[in-house]
Amino acid sequence: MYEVAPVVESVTRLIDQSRVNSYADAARDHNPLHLDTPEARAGQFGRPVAHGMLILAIVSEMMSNTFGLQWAEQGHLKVRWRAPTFPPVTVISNAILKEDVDGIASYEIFCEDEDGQKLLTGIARVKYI
Amino acid sequence: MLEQLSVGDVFSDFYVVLDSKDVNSYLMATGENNSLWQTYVPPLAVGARILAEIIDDFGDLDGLMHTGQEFSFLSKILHSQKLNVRVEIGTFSKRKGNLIIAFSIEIYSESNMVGSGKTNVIIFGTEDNSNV
Repeated sequence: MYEVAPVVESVTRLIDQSRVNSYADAARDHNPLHLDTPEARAGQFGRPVAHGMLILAIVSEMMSNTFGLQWAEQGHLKVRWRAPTFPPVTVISNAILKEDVDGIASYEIFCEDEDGQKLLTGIARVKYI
Repeated sequence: MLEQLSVGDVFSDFYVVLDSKDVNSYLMATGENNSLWQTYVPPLAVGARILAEIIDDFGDLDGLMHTGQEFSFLSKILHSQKLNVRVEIGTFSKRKGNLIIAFSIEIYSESNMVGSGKTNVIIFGTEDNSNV
């Protein structure tokens, strides 16, 4: 429990094709767009794209690292993907506190690659008291 | 089938159960390492499974792109807890030959809502766009 909204520490994660393949199995999402397949190479990006939910998982990890089960019980996420994520890439998830009212903290969240390209943006909100 | 969808239609109604093996696979894949998830299910693991079910219902995945996502988590979920998921068409529009769909998701454990969400997808080039 916190008395004021806490700083949420960033999480950094290497997203390589091996991780994407493992995620495809774990999430049961075998869309060939994400795998090293002829379909992915012939698709609009010309190469495999990581699952958007794999990138979003880093955001949720970041929030649960700070808020624990409060995140699972009183958390809210709203995001849009801004650019495709091409493995291998290092993804950094960030949260900036925007509002702290009545025990509800709202953060601007974004994930970016090592070049600062925004991959995902949105908001996360959690009741922390 | 897609062209026949309209707002309010129940797109899908199914059960989801994530056991310890499922959760461990998810944690290994994402790289997340939090002892909470030895007992409870990471919220996004539930979301990922639901999304996979929705996408699976499409059958043909060509041209489908996940563009936005919203989740509200209302209760912690135990390993092997049975969840009932109801997916409705929230919004549905056609633009320049592409379909833009928002799925509204409600997640229940018995009669209690434990989460909700909205999934936005665009499906490129699903219809003749000569009239657009």
